[in-house]
Amino acid sequence: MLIKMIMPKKVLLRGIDERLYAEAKARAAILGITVSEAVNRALEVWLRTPLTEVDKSGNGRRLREIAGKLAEGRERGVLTVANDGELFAFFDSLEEALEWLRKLYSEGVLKNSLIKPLGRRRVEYLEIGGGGDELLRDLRRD
Amino acid sequence: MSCSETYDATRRPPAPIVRAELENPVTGRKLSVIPYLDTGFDGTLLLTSDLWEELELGLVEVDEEVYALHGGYLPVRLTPALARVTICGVWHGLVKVYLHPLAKRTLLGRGIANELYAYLAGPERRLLLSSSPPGELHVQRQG
Repeated sequence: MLIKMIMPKKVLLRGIDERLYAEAKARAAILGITVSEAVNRALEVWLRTPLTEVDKSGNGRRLREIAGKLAEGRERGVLTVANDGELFAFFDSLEEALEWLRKLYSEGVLKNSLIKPLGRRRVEYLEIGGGGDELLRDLRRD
Repeated sequence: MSCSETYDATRRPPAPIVRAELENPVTGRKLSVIPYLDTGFDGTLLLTSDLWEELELGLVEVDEEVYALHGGYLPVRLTPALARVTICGVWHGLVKVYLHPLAKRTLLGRGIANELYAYLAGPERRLLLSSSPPGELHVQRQG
C-alpha cells in the first residue's frame, strides 16, 4: 500500500503589517488555533471572494468615489459610470442606463461600470430565514 | 402557465427547488441555475460567487448598501446587480439579484416567490408553480 503524505509548505513572508499580525495572533489564540491555520482560513475566504469584490479595494472603490462626486447635488434619476470614470451619463430610468451600457459593450469598449440610483441612500437588510444553512452546502447532505 | 418541479432529495429533509434562467442585461449572457425555494429569504435571488463571475454581473452592479441577516443577526454585506430572471418559464422580469460572498447555495426568496402561486406537494416531493391561481385546491379546514 502506498501512502502519499502531504507536508504543509513553509513560506517566509516579508512586509506583513505588524498590527494585523498581532491582531491575527490574538484572535487565533482566542479560537485555539495556530496563526498558520488562521492564515490558511483567511486565504481560503479571500480566494473564494469574487474578483469584483476583491477589486473594490482598488478599481471598484475608485469607481464608487468618482460616482459619489458626480452624484453630488443630484436627487433624481440614475448615474452610470464606466471605464474607471472616463465615461458617465445620467438617465431617468435603469432601463435607459442598461441601454447605454449595452451600446458600450457591443462596441467592445466597456471595461467596468457601476449603476448608482440617485437620491437619499438607505441601508437595506434582507433576512435569510435559513440562518447559516445556505453557507454550508455539503454538510447537510448524506 | 404552470410548471412542476421535483424536490432535491439529497437534502434531509428534501427541499423544494426551482429552475431559473439568469441573463446579464448588458452582455446577454445566460445561465441556468437551480435555487432552493426559501420563503424565509426577503430578497429575490441570492447567488454564489461562481455564478456571479460567470455571468459577469460586476458590469451591472448597483451602488446600494444591502446586508444579509442570518437568523436575525450576523450581518453580511451583499452586492446587488441587475439581472433578467425567468422562473421555470412562468415568470420573468428585470430584478436586483444579490451576491453573498460566502454563500454556497443559490436561494429564491419572497421577492420573486410572492409574484407566483406556489403549491408545495410535500408528500409527493413536488413543487407546482403557476402565474395564475390553481383551478382547485382541496383544503381541509378545522372547526
